[in-house]
Amino acid sequence: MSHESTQILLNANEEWAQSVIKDIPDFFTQSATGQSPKVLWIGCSDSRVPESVITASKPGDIFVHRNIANQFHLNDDSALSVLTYAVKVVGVEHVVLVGHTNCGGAAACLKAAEDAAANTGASQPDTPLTRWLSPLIAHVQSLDLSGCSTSEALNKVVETNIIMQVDNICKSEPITTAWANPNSKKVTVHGWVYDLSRGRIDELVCRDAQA
Amino acid sequence: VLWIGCSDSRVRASGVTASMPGDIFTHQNIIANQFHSFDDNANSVPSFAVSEAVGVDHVVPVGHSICGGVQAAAGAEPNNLIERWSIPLTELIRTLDLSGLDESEALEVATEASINKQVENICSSEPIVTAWAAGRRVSVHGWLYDLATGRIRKLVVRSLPYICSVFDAFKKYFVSVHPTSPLLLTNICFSLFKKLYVHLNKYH
Repeated sequence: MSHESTQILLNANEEWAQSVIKDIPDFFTQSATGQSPKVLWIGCSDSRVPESVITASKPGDIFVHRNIANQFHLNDDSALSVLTYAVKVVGVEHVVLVGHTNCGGAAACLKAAEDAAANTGASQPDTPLTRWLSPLIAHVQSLDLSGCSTSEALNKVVETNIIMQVDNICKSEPITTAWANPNSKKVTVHGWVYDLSRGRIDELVCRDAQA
Repeated sequence: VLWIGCSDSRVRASGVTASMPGDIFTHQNIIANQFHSFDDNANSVPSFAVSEAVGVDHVVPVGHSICGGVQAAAGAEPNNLIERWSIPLTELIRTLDLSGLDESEALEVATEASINKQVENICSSEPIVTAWAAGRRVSVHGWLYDLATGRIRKLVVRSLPYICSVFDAFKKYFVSVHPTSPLLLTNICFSLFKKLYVHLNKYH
C-alpha cells in the first residue's frame, strides 16, 4: 500500500527544517526551551484553514485547538482543558474562535436538520460525529431559514455558529474567572470567519471583560 | 492526510511540513495529542475525515519532544481538569520501567509510549475499525516531532489488516466473476464479516 502522501510530508519537513536552520541556525534549539504564544486559535479541522499558513505565523506564535465545525462545548474536557491551559498556564491574551465558509460540518448539520424536518419519525444514528454535532443541529433547527438559498442558509449557519461558540467560551470557567479578577491578565475573545474564496479573515464579534 | 497533534504552538502541522491549504486535515488537543475512546471531540474527526466527504488515506498521530503535557502527566494526581484529561496518560506512564533513566530520557520514553498508545486507540476506534472492515486502505502512522531539530521521526505504521484485505479481494473477485447476479449469499457473508470484525476490534 502506497504511503506516498505521508512520505511527501516527511520529505517536505526535512527541506523545511534545513531552510529554517540556514536562515536562523539556533531557531529550533531556542524553540525547544519554551513557548509564549499570545493567541489561542479554536478552529475547524478543515484542511483549507491551516491557522499558521493563513496568518503567516511561525512556530511559537499560536496555541491551537481544531475540531469538526470549530465547536466549544461547555461539557467537553478536550476543548476546556486547552482553554484552561492556554489562559492560566501559557497566558494567552486573545482567544480567537474561527469558523469558515463552505464548512462541511455546518453543511452536514443543515442537511440533518432538513432530514429531521422531512421525516419526523427518523432519528440520527448514534456515532461520535452525530453526537459531536448534535448541539449545532439543534441550533440550526432554531433558525428561520425560510426564503434563504442553500448558500445563504449555510452562511447564516456558519456565522451564527461562530457567535454561539464565542458565547460558550465567554461562559466558561477560565474566561469568567479571568474577567472577574482585575489582577488577572487581560483576555479578549474574538469571533472570526475565514472566507475560503477570498483567503481573508473578517471579525464578526469581539468580547472582553467590559462587554 | 489527517494529523492528530498537540496544541503546542511550536508544532504547527502545516508549518513543519511546509504544506499548503488543502493538504492536511487537522485535530489538535492539549496534553500530548491524546485520543481517548470516550472523547467524541477526537472521535468525530477521523469519522468525518475517513468518510467519503473527505476521504483521507492516512491518519497520523504526532507527538513531540519536551511535551509539557507528558511531563505534567508523569507527576499528576488528578485534582483539576487538565490532570483529569491526562489520567490515561498518567496510568500508561506508571506501567513503564523508567528506572536508571535521567529526566530527559524518561520523558522521551514516555512520549514514544504515548504515541504508540494513541495509534492503538485510533486503530480500535469506530471510524477506523469500520473502514478496515469494509476494506478501505487507511493507514495509521505514529510520528514524533523533535523540537530541537525540527525533524519528524516515524515510530510506527499500521495498515489494513491482512484478513480484511483478503476478504476485500474475495469480494472484488466475486463481483468481477458474477457482475449481474444478485450475490445474496455473498453479500450476507461480507456483511456478517464486517459486523464480526467491528465487534471484535472496536473498543467498548
